This record gives sequence, structure tokens and C-alpha cells, in this order.
Amino acid sequence: MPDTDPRADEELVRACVAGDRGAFDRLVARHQRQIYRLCYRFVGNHEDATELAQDAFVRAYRALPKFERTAKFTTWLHRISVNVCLNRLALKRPQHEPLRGIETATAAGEGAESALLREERARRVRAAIARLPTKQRATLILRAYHELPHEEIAGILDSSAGAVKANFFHALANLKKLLDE
Amino acid sequence: MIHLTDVQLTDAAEGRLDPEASAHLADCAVCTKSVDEMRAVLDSVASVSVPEPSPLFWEHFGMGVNAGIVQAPEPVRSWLPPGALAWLGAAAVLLLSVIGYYATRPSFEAAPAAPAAALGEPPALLDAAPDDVEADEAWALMRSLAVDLHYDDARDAGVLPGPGSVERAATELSEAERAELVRLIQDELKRMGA
Repeated sequence: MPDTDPRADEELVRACVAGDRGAFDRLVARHQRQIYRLCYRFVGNHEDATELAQDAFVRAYRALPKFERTAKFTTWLHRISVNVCLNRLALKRPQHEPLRGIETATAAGEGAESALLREERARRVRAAIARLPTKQRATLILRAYHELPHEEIAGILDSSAGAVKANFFHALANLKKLLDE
Repeated sequence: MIHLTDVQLTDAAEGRLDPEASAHLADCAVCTKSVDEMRAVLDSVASVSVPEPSPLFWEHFGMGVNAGIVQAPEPVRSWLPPGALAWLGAAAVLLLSVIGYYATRPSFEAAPAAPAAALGEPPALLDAAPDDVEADEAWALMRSLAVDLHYDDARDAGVLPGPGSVERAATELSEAERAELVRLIQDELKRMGA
């Protein structure tokens, strides 16, 4: 369902808390891709990412009356999603999806060998990210993939902007070591 | 030479280093190497994409969220403004503290008669203690005991009241509390043989 609602997130939240369930559907349609991708970055497979992203939205819906309007809705939603993912990772190590880029890459005109190398590099990077400490991993995902400002990441991870930058530095340093192994 | 900190190296890798640190970076091979390595790792990270699900998936995604919501309880719609619950909570704690204080402090209303009676003293001071401080017989005793006490002696004895405390004691103690105070002093005087 394309998002054509001109209302801001915070207006939709108010409408939802006032009893307009359709307003929450608008919020889901608006943010589902971003939240799904965020979850995928944590777990590395479609099934778990789907389940976690849906769970994040359900939890957000339940907690809407407690949403502090001093924060941005997206920051709050990201915080819930990151917590859902970290809780899952604490319980179960996800299975990353197998390599599957060769068919799609060759179909797009890329040579099979080149596609294989690219997929192998991607697999190694994903595996290395999965081995980072949780806070470094969350910081790296939010910064490198979602390009959120350090201050917003600090709000999501209940940290400070300086600590986020330091975590980011250590995440990259650890990744380099893991990729060089 | 002092090298760039973790935070400054991060800023440098993201291309927003302040001028002073940039000047250092231009002259420092160690920091330049660190920044180059960070950028190389970032390039590797950026090359990993998330497969895009089919358009149909997104329609089902919303349905899955709705199914989860149906199983979950409805959000509680509050008529209170945001933050009101926190204030109500604080008010409740304060109220409980006040109630707790009055519930646990020594009662001056029930206890005092028995010891006085046991000492053979008439309980008149307690029963008949008037609310008017000037006409209060028990308080008159207090004043008579204190009348010969010199300021310097009291100060040397360390019993000097704080500014306004006597007035507060006289005006804020209930008649029963004043009577209890007098009873305690009378008991102490008897014990000392005064």
C-alpha cells in the first residue's frame, strides 16, 4: 500500500492513540521497508527479518500511548526494532542466507566469476559484522547502512554522540581485523 | 606527537574533521593510515546490500502486523495528557510519605495519662490543658523554669534554640503535645530530686 498520507508521523500517532487504527497502517506502510532492512542487517535472512520487523511494529502499537512526543517517532521505532533484534540474537544465532547472487548477477550481465567473488566478499563481511559485540554492531548498522546522525543513534542506543563515534571507530577496527584473518 | 582520538578519526573518515585536527592529519602518516583503513572497511561494508523482497511481500507484511495486533491487547487510551501519569505517581508517593509519617510518629493523644497517674499526679495538666498558650497552666510551668535561665548559660550548655524555634514550639504544638512535653520535664525534675 503506497503511503500517500500527508500527515506527519506524530500526527498519525495522535490519531492512532485517539482510536484511528487506519493511522497505524499508514505508519507501517511508511516505515516497513526501513525497519525490515534494519532487522535483515541484524539477522541476515528474510524469514527472521520479516518476523522481527512485524514484531517491532506490534510492540510499537502496544506502546504508542507511552510514546514521549519529545522524541522523533522514527528514533523511537528504531529503538524498539534494535531491542527486538538484540533480544532475538541473545536467544538464537540466526542462519544467514546462502549465496544466491550468481543467477541474478549473471542475468544482469555480470560475469559468473566476478559475481561469485562479490558474493563471497559480501558473505565474509556479513559474517564479520555478525561477530562484532552487539553495541558495535548496532552502531555500525545504524550509521553505515541507515546513515542516521550520531545524535539520533545515541538516542536509539541510550548513549552519547561521543560514545557512538568511539563505538563506530572500534567496530571498523574490529571488522578490519576479522576481515584480515 | 599526539595523534587523533577515536572520535576525531571517525570524523575524519566521514569527512567532517575540524580545521585544527585536519592540519594534524595532513602531516601525520599514522593517522592518515588509520583513516584510510577505516574508509576501506566502510567501502566493504557498504557493498553488502539487502535483497529487495517482491512488491507483494509488502502487502502481506502489513497484514502480518495487523494479525499480531489483533492478538495483542488494544493500547490503553488515556484521557490524561502525556506525562500526567508521572506527576500523579510523584503525588501519590508524597501522599504516602505524609500518611506514613503521621501513622508512625509517637502519639501524644493516647499515651500520656498513664505514667502521670502511676506517679500519683493528677492528670489535670493533660485533660484540662487549654488551647490558649498564655492561659496554659502547663506552659506556665515551662516559662517559670526558664525564667532564671541566662542566655549565656543556655548557650554554654548547648541548649540554645534556633531562631524562631520557641515561637514555633509555642504556636505549633497542640495542647496535648505541650502537656506531654511538660509531663516529661516534670518526670525528669522528680527524678533529679528538684
